[in-house]
Amino acid sequence: MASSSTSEQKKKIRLKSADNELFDVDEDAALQSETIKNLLQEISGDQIVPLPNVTSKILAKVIEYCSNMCELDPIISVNKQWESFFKNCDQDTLFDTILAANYLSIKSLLDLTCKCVADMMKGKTPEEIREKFHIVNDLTSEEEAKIRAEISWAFE
Amino acid sequence: MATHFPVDLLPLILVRLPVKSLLRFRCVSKSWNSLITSSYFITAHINHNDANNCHALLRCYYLETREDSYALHSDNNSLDKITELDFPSETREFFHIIDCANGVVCLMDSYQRYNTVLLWNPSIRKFLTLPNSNYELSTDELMNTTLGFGFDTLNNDYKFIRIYHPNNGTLKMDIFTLSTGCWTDIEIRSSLAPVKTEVATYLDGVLHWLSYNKLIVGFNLGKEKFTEKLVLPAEIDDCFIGVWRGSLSAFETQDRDTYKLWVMKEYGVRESWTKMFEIRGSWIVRGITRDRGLMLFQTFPSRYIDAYDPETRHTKHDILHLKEPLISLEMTPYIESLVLLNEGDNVPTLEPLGI
Repeated sequence: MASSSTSEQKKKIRLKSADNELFDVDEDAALQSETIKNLLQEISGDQIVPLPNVTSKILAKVIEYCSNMCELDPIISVNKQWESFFKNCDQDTLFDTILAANYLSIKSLLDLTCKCVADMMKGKTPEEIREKFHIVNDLTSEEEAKIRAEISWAFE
Repeated sequence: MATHFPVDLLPLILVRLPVKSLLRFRCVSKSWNSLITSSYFITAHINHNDANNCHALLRCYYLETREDSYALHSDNNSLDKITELDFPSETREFFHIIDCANGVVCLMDSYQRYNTVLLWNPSIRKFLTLPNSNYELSTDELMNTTLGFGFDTLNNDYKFIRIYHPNNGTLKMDIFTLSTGCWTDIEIRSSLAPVKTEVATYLDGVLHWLSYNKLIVGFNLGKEKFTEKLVLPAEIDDCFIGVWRGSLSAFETQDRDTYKLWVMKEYGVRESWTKMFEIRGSWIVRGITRDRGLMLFQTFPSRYIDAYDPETRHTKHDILHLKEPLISLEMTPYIESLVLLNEGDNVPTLEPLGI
């Protein structure tokens, strides 16, 4: 997943993460984010683009992803590598990347990460989902029994 | 740090799940249950599924055993069977498929032809019988009735329509609306009567039928008005209409042994009618898959099902690997959906049959 380098001099965009770390990113990689594209139209020339909703750890990953999408070929094998990365990374990183992809409006990354979570959920029981994602069951036992009775075949 | 599930983005994740998982996940919590059963989510799930997971639903009615079977098949060149479907009724031999919209299959009992209409969502195993219409048709009207079913894109609703045309220059329509559970009837002075179509062709919120003078008439289900008059190419003499790969199409039958498929590439533009292909043979068209455009036809006298693949321009014999010949085959494009999940609670006139 290492980003390749080219000899051409590319225009760089400077991004600032929530924890004030600065990243210099190739323009074509940065512009994959609709949010950054819009912010660049509002601020002038060489100013820094502030991204207060994204930590440096996640921003580094997102930039790596966007650079890969710009530079590597063919795109399908790159996507497979990223899919395998998100399926094996810790849950916090995956969820934070979903939030970042949504905030930065990078559709392909949002689709990929949402698909990874959906794939993790398939075939699971409600109990397993609650445990995996730390969700509290606030249905009363009557309510839950009523739903289960309606769709008992879905548990087969 | 405890894992924080991105709650706001939950719909984006859940739309990617199959219906069976979603039904189970109603038991996760109150908010998951209300999200999954909301009409907003049901629509979002259809939109995601529609683009990615189209299948073909087939009803086979066998000649020797006189039994029928319903099954889902892949929308690919070999029409691979995915799963058999349980049809929860005992009078099944008399049913046939009118149409399917957003995973809801509209069936009619052909034994008592205009009395029993059913809506069936196989992916949630729900089955509703429409109440009888207030208007009882005379024998003459029964002979001249066109039926249609589809999705009202304007009101996010489903409608079933009976159109009959007494010979006095009017069209009478009986419209059943799922959200209200009621029939309404309208009468329109019009010469746009169907020529021969028994079932209207549904496409994007509009029911179409072939009328006189080479006209295809479009009736908008949301507005309940005629909105389109589309003219067929002059060279077509005898045809029936349908949908091919998302476009309105006309299947021309010439001399009983040559068939031509015409497609209106740009909806509403007469000049965009294009002849796609021509096939020779003696058979009856039984259905067209949505994405691949595979055309299924029944051969005679053998009564097996062959398939013409427009990609390879080849015909595959006995594509279903049948154990015995069929009386008939019906096929409709199908996507999984959660539609009808909440019905029964707010449509008291509809009673679920024994499941």
